[in-house]
Amino acid sequence: MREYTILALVGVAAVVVFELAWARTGLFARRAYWVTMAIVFGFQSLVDGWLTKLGRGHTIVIYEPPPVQWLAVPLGHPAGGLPLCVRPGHDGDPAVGTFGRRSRAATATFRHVGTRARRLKTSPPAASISPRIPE
Amino acid sequence: MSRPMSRFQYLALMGACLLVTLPLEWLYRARVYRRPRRLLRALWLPVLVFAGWDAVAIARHHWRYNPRYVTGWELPLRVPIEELVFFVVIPICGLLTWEAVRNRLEDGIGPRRRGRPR
Repeated sequence: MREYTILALVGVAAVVVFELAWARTGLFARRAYWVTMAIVFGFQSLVDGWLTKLGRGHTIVIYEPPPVQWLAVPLGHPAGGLPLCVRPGHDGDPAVGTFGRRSRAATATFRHVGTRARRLKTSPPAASISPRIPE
Repeated sequence: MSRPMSRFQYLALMGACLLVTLPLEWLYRARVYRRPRRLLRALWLPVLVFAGWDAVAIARHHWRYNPRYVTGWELPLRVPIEELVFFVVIPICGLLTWEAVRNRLEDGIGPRRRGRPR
């Protein structure tokens, strides 16, 4: 397995552990989170696809050794399917390298946001923190 | 031209990401840019972690950058400036999406849908 793949898998595990053991935002139980993940997955595919697109000399971010080709989707970038559960774009083996890395930032941010959301819930009235203006 | 415009391609892609997600700020009242201190608090950790990861990956030759499409401006540890931009821009896009989806699903905020009064 590629070294970057292993790192990516470790990253996924770390995020899950972080959420379940420490942050406990409850984000995994929220529908909005998964809908967000699905949307982000789609757009990340485009952006990552652009960055890692195959084709002579047109690749912006070049993986070494290159991701395994049988997982490449028509767009020309290594994909996979199965966003395991943590973050968008984390797929089976080689794809993780391309997708996983690029998606991690977003996920970690969600985590962070969730943490704050949870903390805020227990303190001042929610309205003062994220005002929801009724129509 | 000795330095072709193509070297801004990575940066341009990041700019496009910002442009595409910008409408979420008001259409779904994401309020990401309007709370800059919150944004900073959400960003600093992922940016730090992933920039570090990137530096390690570059040093260990996990990936490299096509000199044709990057400016060549580098941060310490040979991290291209584009990567820092990436780690700021993509989380912002993610945050905008999250806030928008949450507003939509949990508070019914967003553009009205035809034939579906709120």
